[in-house]
Amino acid sequence: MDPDILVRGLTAGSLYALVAVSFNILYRPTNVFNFAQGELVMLGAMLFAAGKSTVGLPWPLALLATLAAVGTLGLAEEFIAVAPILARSKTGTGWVITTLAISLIVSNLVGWIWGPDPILVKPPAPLSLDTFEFAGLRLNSYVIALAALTIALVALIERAYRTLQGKAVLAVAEDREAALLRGINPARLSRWSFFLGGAFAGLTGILAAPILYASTSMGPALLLKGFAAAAVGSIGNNRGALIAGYLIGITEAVGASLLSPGYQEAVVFLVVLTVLLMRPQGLFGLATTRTV
Amino acid sequence: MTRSDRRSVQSGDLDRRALLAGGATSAASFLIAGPGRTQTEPFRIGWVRPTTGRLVSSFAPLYVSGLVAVKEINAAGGILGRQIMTIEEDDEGSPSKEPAVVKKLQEAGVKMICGPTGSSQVLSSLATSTPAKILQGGIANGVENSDGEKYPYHYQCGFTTVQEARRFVEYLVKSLGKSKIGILQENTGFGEQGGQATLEIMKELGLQPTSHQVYPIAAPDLKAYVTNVKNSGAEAVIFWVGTLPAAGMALRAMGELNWAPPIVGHSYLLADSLFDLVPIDALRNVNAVYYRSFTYTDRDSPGERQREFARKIQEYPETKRLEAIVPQATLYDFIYLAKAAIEAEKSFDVDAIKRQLDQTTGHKGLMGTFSFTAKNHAGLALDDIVLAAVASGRDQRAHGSFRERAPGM
Repeated sequence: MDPDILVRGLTAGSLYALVAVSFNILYRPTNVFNFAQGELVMLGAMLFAAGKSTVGLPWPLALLATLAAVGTLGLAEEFIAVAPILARSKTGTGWVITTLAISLIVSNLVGWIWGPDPILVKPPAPLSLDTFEFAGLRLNSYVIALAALTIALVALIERAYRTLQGKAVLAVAEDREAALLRGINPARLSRWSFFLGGAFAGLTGILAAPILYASTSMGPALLLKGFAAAAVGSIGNNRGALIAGYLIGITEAVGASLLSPGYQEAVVFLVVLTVLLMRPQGLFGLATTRTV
Repeated sequence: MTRSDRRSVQSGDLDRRALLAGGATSAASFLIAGPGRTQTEPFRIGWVRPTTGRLVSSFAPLYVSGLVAVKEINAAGGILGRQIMTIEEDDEGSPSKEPAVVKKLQEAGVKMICGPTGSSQVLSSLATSTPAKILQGGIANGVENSDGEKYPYHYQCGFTTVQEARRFVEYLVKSLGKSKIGILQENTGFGEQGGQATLEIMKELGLQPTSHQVYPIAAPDLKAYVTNVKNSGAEAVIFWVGTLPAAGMALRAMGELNWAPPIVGHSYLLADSLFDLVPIDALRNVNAVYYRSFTYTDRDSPGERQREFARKIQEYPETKRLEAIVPQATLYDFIYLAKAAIEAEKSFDVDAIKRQLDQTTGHKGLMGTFSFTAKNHAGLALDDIVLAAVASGRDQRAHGSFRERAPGM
């Protein structure tokens, strides 16, 4: 078997895990799946690429500006497309349509502003995409950093959930009304989650851009697999999302190598389907009983 | 005035004031001269393209050659004295929208359509435009669209996937002496048609691909596919790759594998932005299909007509860095062919235009020489289709639109 499979799996898996985590950040306090998340990832990549190449901003400044911009857009989305729906009914599902509408608007706007050409984003020095051999593997420093950063980000987010604010988010996720009675403001947490989820999607786009190029087509490419990682890892579970992201990335790479790359999509979705049929709550979720 | 009229775009052809003035003149002539008025009304051409959606900016440059033709013809007095007016309809680049768009144009009395773009989109629109007897020039490479018996009112002025495939295979086999050829193909209608045509032409020469890799259009990584092609022992690769990010990822994967075989591929590889994605050294062995009339060699240069066209398209901001893509959409030649047919018949009747077009032999167009028959509506001569060096996009002689012809072509 080609030893590079592991590298390819880790690269793709890191990106899928990051998208899955960005889903989770939004989902926990709101129970809303943001179907515009893929486009927010793409927007992050495009804004960053434009900031770096067109405006000439240094890496850290372009990074901060992008996170702030995409986070603000996430916040605006919450105001326009989610809060009014949830205000009418906590169990309403109209956000499926409204977040899809936001997705279309973002996609159209980005295409209109930047056009069809992909933009090359170089990794920040001293990282590079130049390959070197290590223990029979063809690696590059950016892929190693990407995998390490993905794990560190998930650890950081998990740690954040242990703070008072984080526990408030978990309380809202558990029981919105009960949390309200305990003095927690779910609406405020919802807004924060959309801001942070948007910023995290922007960060994912920035990290993906050196590998995939910044282009209008990168959102859909990541959205589906990211969603699959969130589902397999149990919705709302970030450690699960991380493991499921790598599981999907490596399955994809192994399937491509052992069967044919043409079957890799089918192999991935077969694995996802099998996991969800056997454990509908995902690999790391707990089955719950509900009295009706 | 219909809603379609109100939505018409004026890109240097006929503006709203001119139309109103023309309308007033028409009304006056009607009052004075009676029913002969129709010859002074603008000749309306449906302009089907996405104005909303993800594909707006990628498809916009493909309509510029048509806009140039309309502007030139209107400046020279129009067709039989009638100015051309474009009636724009938004198809969002979606095949499912095409029947409704064509129906709307039909109801507005439009008898000729430019667009849509894409093989699937064109086929979808033909289902409505054919029974409606609307003359159509779609922007697509699919060979099925050029079947004159099935789609008698549709004319294809660009190269077809079969012509492309023939050029690819013959160049690799006969000019470069390569017989171990791999195929890298996207899983779209375009990719399927191109891949299939390649297999058939290789079979004619007694060859089979060493590896035929089909990747999903949204694949985030092409290294596995490229590795398989390399491991199959391929000495050359045919790219049926229609997007730049995929082309960039495939070329980068080849660089990581220290593999630089000769590559031939679709014309989108000529987009200038490919130079941003991969180093120029990675493009030295890459050739893409193009028009002979837009290529140069040490002894041959593009003609004055082509140079004038290359200057004109630079007035359109949407063509920036895509100058070599603009000629791919041969609306320019389609509109001029229709003009010639109308003038020969002295009639705007669609059946008369079709009759004349079907007899076209050796029409010298901008991109090449066109000949149609009632059966064959892919009119461009194979000899006018060549391979061009992608890296020559950085030559001083390129001027945006031109490329160096591959040796031996």
